[in-house]
Amino acid sequence: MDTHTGDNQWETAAAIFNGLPRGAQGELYTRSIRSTSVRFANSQFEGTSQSRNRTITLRVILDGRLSAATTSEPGESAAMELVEKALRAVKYGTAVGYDFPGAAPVAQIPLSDPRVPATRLEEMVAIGRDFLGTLLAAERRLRASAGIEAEEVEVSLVNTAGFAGSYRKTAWHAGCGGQLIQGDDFLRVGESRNAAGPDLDYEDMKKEALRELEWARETVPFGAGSYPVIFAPSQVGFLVTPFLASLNGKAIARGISPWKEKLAPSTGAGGGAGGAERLLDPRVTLVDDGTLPMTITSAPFDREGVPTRRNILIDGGVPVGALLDLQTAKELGRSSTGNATAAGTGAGPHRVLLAPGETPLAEMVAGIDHGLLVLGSMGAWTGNAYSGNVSGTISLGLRIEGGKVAGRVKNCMFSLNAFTHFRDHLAGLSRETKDASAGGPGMGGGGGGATFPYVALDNVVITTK
Amino acid sequence: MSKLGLGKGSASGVALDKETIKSALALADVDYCEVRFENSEVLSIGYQGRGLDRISQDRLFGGAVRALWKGGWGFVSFNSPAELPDVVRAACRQARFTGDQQNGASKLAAAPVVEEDYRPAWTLNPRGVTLDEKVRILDRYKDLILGYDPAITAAAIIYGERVTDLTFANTDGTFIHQEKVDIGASLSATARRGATTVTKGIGRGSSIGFDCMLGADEELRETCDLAVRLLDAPQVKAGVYTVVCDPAVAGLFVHEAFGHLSEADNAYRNPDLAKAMTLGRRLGRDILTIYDTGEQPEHRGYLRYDDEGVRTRRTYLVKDGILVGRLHSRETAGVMGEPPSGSARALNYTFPPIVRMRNTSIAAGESTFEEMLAGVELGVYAVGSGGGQTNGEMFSFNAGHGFMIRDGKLAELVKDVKLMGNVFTTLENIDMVGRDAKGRGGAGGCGKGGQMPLPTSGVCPPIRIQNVIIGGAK
Repeated sequence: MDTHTGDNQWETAAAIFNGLPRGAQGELYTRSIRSTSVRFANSQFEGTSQSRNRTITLRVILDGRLSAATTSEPGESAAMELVEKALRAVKYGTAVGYDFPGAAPVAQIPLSDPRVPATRLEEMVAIGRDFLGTLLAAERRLRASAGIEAEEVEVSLVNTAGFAGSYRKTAWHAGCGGQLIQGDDFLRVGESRNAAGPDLDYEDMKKEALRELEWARETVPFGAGSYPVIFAPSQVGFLVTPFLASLNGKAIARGISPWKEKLAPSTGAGGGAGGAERLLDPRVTLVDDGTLPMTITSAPFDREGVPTRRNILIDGGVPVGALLDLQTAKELGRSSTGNATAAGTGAGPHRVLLAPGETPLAEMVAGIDHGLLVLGSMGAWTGNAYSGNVSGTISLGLRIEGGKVAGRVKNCMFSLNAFTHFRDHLAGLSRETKDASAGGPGMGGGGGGATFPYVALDNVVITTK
Repeated sequence: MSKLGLGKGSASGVALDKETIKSALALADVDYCEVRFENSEVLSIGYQGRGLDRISQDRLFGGAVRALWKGGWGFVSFNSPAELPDVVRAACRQARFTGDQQNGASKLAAAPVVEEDYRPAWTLNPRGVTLDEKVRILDRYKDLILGYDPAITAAAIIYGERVTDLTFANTDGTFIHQEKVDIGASLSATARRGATTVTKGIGRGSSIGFDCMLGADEELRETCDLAVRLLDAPQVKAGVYTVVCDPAVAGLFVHEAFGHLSEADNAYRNPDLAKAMTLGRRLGRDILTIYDTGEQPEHRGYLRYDDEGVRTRRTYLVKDGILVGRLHSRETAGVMGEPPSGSARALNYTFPPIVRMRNTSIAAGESTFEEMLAGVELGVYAVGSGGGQTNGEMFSFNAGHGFMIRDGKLAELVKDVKLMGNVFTTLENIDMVGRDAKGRGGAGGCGKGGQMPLPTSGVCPPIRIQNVIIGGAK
């Protein structure tokens, strides 16, 4: 890892904490990233990138108020400047009712693969060339693209209450795809995956990208109306964003969550007179897990030093959990769930898991007489998550006719309400799952990774000309 | 010897002067090499709910070296100025690794060699406004929002300010030091009744002054009023409508629906896309003129030089309905044989510059608002800017709310107005362009290639579009 000129984070922390006034609490968070990537675009090898970046963030609590300062400048004077900046801002800072957590054992979760930093550029280029070779052999008009990135991250956190922990993790990202343009008709296909190490199923990635290409070769008409629609795992994050937003501690504490009065007492929301209420179909079970081994979204502790956990959010359609950091936990009279985000601005998920069903995707498709399979969309992340309304332009959608994929549909938009569709119109969850992202920016999902099945919903409104 | 880039703001006082940078660039054994070094002071203040939620003062400090050899790029970012010579060597090694496999030619469009030390003409230098004063102003806006109506349960304010010392030098001999400022803010009110929640907000932004944050009271009151009224408004009914877009929606439309397609890194090595975007193609009616510019310092996309040291200029993309230009880096311009436009931008030192928009605008037309409504039997007046996305051919963007147009007049308020369309047919379907152009502000920015949020803006009049698909209730 990049350690800079003789810096030692523990010594730096001690020096910084010595500069704080009596009664102040301090927390120093250090994050170093070293990454190497290769990229292919327009069917050719385009370039390589290497990044070495280290930031340190000081948070200070003084007289019940919190402020923060971050720097990427190396050296002792830059570190000491953090003290001056954090103290200058703290009198305006966030009113907090908690203390930084004290000493605690740090769980040993395997997160690092030694092959990642040892990988040579030639090996990464070879993977990219193989992607391009396969895709172009199947369709020579495709403008193929690929990218491979190897990343090492080192995190340490120490505070004046006695917590001191660090961990190292690796990440390996790979993607392949392409664009096919015929006149004014644009088609994009692609597949991307990640893991702590390079053991991704590259053959399956190519197969998935080529399957999308084959399915979408022919454009077919589709009329407006209400239809059964299967959403691919890459789209499910948009559908569950209203749930994640409603179960975010900040939304509950601020009175924004539409579920505020209906949540189980275990969420800290107070709950209705009857306690837990089933708000969604019993097949809906949603979990956030920050402890999965060799998973890039895992960590032994969150941004505040609280251990991560497996956190059941919705159990059989009943909201039973919430995403909490120290501040929202205090406001709701609960304990933090270890969901403080890396940005330090609230709670967010680590890896969201929607429980799969029993039906293979092929059977789900076969069971639809006239409907859609949505593999890609645009703009579904915009809008008001708390309303539950989710709509997006379908960028890659396939018409299902008589139980079979019949071709690509264009100029269509889907609209649904996650709260009512996952309560009254859930047609099925597939046996297969795929990795995806947890939700859109600005929608309360807070980023993070996810593992989702295909989700079939009935009565989805499709608008088209 | 002038010390540039790491001057007064640097905590360590480490100097990365012109001679040091030139000496490092002299190590470059490639076709082209550039050094960028950034020292940014970033202030973030956030309110959420009923109080201040976040305050931080950060320093972004680091540099990047990019090298080109036989058409292949190498890029390395770093934190410590002392590493510069090693980083130049590393970037050159990577460029040679890539270029030797490509064995192509490095094609960079010529750009004038520049030496300049530039500082913007402030309207109100944010460094001259104390933190105390900034917090006091934002506090007052927060109180205004929360005190407006009992239905308003939360205020959300995001204020971001970034003051940057940026040094750029390349092996052509260009050496530029710029002071840059970006201020972006969003102020919003959340109204709630039962399970219905509505959030509406306003945006502010500037590249030359904190004064953009002053005088927002009246606009905020109108926004609070709107949030409360929208609690009872129905969701728009899905369908195909004639849509009149307000300046904010028009700005989002031209950015998402057309601006991204004009970025030449999509087309420069893609003959099929280059053909679809052949200069001289008619895309719209004579009333449609679109340009992108680094001018307009009162908006967030202002840029004197891009991140390749190219002076920005006004670039006409569509003139009188005809495609006449596109946005370029030096490489895309060199490959396509067109002039560079000063559009190569990097989010910060950890990223290489890629082709991006600045202030993307529609030139004002001649229609009045009343003329645009006239003759519309059933339509939607779409208002506000809530984000969007494009894949080149199709676009989607969220206006947030709007008013139905019935028999040529504004009628009831509707919410959740999200528009979609095909870029090419929608441009053809713009049949009226309004007189009164307005700029748009706000926190956040544009995302592309993992670089987000990049400050962009634009100045647009209202426009009328026929046959727009709007999603929503059945």
